[in-house]
Amino acid sequence: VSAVWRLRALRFVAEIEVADPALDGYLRRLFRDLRTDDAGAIDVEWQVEAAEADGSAGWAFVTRGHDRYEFTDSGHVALEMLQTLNARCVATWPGVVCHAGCVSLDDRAVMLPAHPNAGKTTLTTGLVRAGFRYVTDEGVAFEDGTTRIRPYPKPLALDAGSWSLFPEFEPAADLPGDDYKRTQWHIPASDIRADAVSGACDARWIVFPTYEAGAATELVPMRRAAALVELAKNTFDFPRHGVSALEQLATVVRACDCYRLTVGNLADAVASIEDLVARG
Amino acid sequence: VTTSSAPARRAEVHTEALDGEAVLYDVRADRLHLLNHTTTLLWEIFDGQVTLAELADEIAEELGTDRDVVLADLVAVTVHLADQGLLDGLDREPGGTEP
Repeated sequence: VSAVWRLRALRFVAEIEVADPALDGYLRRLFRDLRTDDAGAIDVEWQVEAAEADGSAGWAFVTRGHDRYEFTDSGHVALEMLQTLNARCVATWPGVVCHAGCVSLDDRAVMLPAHPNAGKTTLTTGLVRAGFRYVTDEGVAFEDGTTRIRPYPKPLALDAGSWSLFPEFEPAADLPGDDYKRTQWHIPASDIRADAVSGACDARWIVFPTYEAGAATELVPMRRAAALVELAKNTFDFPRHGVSALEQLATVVRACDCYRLTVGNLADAVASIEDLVARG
Repeated sequence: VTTSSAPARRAEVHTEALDGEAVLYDVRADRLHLLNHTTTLLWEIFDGQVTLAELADEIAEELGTDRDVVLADLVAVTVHLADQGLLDGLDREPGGTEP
């Protein structure tokens, strides 16, 4: 086994070296849906080193030549890697990236744009469990001028409020303690199902989910112009792309049916989207 | 805004029309605006060549409605768009040149 390994997120490529064998094994497995054997140029070298943090033995996540973050637990190392990866892959993608979950079926994608804590990862995970394929739970990247989506199958990041909905996906790792699953559960989609990761696919539906405890689950059609505004609000760094971003998003919205989804419970929400997709 | 105003879409405002409605992106202000069907129709007409009074005449005749009511509605919509900084041509005669 090579001492270093690589992952590719959209166009961003990182080469990673982890000093501790157990943590290395955990991170390799965690990021396996992004692993690449591509021997081409890399964007960055990341190291995870043993370090002392807050007076305790811990870890340092180091971007060679730049930043160094020290943590006492493995969970925060993974979280920092994920957050850094999200930021870097969005920043290096030349086109528009929407803040959205996304699943596909038969090459047709259901986008789930939402602000943080709207429940998009929970709904995305539920849809993958139900048989959809996983595109992303964070960033939907469009190939320029088209409705084509490039997958970014990062590990699903489930917050504690959703853990009881997915007890079968509780992470397990050969690491001391349970730090790695205390803050968030990080789940490679291929842990849910071996063929769960989607290939490139075309946007066909845009569903804006909002979780409301105790509410009736309801899928309501949405005017395309209103959907375009909402989608723009859920686009990373919209001003950087400006007019070209709005043109790109309008191309997508014109090709999609658009809805608002009030999520009262996960099972009904998944059933609503299954029904939507079945109707074509 | 007066009845002799000839509103014009500001050049720095990009328009995307979808199903009869429009989304505007004001590049200078980095702001998005959503227009309903009626306002979208007016937005497309606002080219700086026609005064609100002339427009009210045409619409009232076409629809067979009260001209003063139409004019009042046109002024209200124009004021709203102007308040959002989306229009030029509010302080000069129709056909006026750009500064």
